[in-house]
Amino acid sequence: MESRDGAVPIGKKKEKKRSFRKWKTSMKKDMPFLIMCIPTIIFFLIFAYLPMPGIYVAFTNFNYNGGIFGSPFVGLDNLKFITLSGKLGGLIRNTVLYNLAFLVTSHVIQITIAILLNEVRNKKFRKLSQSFLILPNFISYVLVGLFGFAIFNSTNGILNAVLERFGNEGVQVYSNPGVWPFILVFVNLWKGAGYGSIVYFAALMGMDREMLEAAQVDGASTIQRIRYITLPSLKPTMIILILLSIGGILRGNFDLFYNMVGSSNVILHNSTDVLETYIFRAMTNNFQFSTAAAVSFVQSIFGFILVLTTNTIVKKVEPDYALF
Amino acid sequence: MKVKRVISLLLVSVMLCLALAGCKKASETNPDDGSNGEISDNFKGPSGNTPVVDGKIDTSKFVTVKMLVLGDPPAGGADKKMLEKLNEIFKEKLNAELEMQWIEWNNYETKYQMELVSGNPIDLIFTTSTWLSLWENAEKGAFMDMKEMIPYYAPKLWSDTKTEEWAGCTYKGKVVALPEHRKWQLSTPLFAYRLDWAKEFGIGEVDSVDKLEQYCKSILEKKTGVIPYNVGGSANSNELYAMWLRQDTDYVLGAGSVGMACPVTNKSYDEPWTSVSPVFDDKFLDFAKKMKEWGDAGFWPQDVMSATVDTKASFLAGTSGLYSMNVANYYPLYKDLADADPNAELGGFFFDEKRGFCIADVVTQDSCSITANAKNPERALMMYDMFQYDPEVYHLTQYGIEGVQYIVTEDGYRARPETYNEETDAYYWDMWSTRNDALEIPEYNPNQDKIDTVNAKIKPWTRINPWGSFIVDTSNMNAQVTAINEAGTTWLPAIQFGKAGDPVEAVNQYRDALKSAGMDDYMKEVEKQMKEYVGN
Repeated sequence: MESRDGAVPIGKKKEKKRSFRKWKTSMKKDMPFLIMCIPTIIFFLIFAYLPMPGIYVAFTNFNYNGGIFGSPFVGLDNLKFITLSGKLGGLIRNTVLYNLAFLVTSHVIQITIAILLNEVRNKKFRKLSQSFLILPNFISYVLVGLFGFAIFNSTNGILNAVLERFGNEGVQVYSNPGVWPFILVFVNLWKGAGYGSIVYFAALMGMDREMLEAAQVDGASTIQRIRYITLPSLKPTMIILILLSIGGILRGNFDLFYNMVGSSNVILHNSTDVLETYIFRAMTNNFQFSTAAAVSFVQSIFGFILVLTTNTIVKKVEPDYALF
Repeated sequence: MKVKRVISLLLVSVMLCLALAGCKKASETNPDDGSNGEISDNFKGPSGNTPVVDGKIDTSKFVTVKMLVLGDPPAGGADKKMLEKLNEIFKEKLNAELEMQWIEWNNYETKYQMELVSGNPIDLIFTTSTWLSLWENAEKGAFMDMKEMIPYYAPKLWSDTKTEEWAGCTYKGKVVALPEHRKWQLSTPLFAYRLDWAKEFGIGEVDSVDKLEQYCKSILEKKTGVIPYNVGGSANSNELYAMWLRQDTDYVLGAGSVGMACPVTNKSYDEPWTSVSPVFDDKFLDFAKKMKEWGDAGFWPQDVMSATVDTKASFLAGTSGLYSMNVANYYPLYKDLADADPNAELGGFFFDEKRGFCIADVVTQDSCSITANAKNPERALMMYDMFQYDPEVYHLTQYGIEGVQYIVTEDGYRARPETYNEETDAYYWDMWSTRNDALEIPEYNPNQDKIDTVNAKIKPWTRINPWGSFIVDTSNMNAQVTAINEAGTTWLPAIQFGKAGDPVEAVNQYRDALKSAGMDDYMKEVEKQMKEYVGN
């Protein structure tokens, strides 16, 4: 403000000098923190930014003589194989729909779990149930696939044994595409919901208890407290988590699909074939890393654009909650 | 603002430096000597460390040769003790030492490619054209041309190798691999089955698809708890298709086939230069229908496409009636099955028996190359010559140290010494291409007579690989090859297990998928290249 009093050029110079001095003092003040940041900065420099020019390999027909930057440039030819099959539309539809289903269901369930845990008064019971909820997260998808097979297989699976026991006819789950979206969403929930709820639970722990007590004194019921105090206080956390997961919407959950269904179970493909299982099939026996890099590049770009768009929308609606 | 600009400038310059560094390294590879291939008395060699002067090899400079093989190194470290002994010999005879690097089986393909990409100066490197993309890597310039060096540095190998065997190692005029040619083996696929059961059912030996069907049906009827073929499907499943090709058609797999599903093959052994697709043969539909019938009858698990099964364990435990394999894995099965069940009798249904021929492995089935970045290719070749032709080095590398890993009995068999301890002394040599039948000391095997019978049966089937060194150059067909491979891995496993729904519809969809993947263009290109090659 003061610089406006003097002549413009001098003022500008003054301002620059001032801001530099300001920067210097703040640097001095924050030095310990900045030093603490250095390892992280170096980490990201080395593992995230330095390799970035290597993305160029996605646009080349790679050969060892030329290396990444000397190989012939082929533009978007590496992506041609997806369009050749004519399946691109279906694959993107499946991938996006599954991810949306995962996103919505998992956040709803995670928040529910967090609130329920928060309402539980018995500490021992809370700890125990929390452990049980988190456990599935540590089971590898390979095993989860085997669990699935033990339950659903038509010759000696648990499901059919139970059905037949009660006089019903057995079902052929592995050749019925209609049921798979439900199974996959359920498995994804079972595996991830408990672990994902930790973040929400932590947010609840940091909540101001006095508000809840005040509400209680005012005669608010439990439902009312959750509806008007707990849920709104989870909103920022939720928005951040959703923003983060939206970036991966074009990435499949390869482990889940590959282990639960297998990659070549054609009968189920209409409802289970996602981009990543397709790429897996196309790339096995066929070591083409330019092509693989090209696909991954497209997924990243798409995710990046999505995150930016969603963030802009959030910024318009609730400026305080935007990521950046 | 200024700070930001400085930081971003710094970042950009660091990135640029790295990018340029990458460029520089890339452009200085590929040594070129420009010599004309005639053997003269003087030869400098690509590295200059081991020149030939007046017909004599000058090894006065001590060098270290790096060798890379695939496999998990012996757990007890016996390879290192062997290497010590070996290096004593190399020090004395070649003034050099060998360093060995292993790539574990876990995720070997990626790790192997990474070694090549990283430009690590490896001299001898294991490779194969059948499962490690030798030609694709050669096309990408990963290997050195050994044409001029071999006569000087590996004279025994040079004189013991026929012209057509060298031709099989040549890519675009460059000798990029060393042949595996002194070890007879035939990759002929088969179903191992229980001969005792087949006899019990009154079928006798299974030697046709009809008898196989009978055998499976009898298992379903008479052996409760046994699945005729207990197997899990994967993107690589192709055994029933392989059986059909050999039993019902004249098609042969050779140059130009794509992936494991092989939707493109060659017309016949007599017409190897015609590219065809068995999928479009009317008989393929019959095959699909038959497989649907078998699948519905329960010859394999109902949910085969999503199942994970250890078929070998199941076969040995007597819960699977069949086990698909290659003859190399069939020999040891005699012992395995006898161990698991002394009353069991092993039989083999060889797919190739009906046609009576099997195309021999290419000489690059197991092979060795020298990488483009090798520091001492000359001394490496000298060592390789000794691996394959020097009896002392051969026995040391193949069997380990005499007295520790093996002894030679009075009747000339190789046996384990009493002190041998599997945990500390287990030893194997994974540069398989150096195997040489002439130098082998046979091991005593109680099943040798059975193995000999099998070999006597299949040896006459051996036919020379008619394509020799012809390799389809797919560099401008990458998208098509990838798409065809995807169509194959999508449809073939499901069709061959009869799990793709209505067979007529499934076959049509498979054909459509292949067409839209550009198979016609691909086949045209293959034929064009074949014509050019045959024309030369």
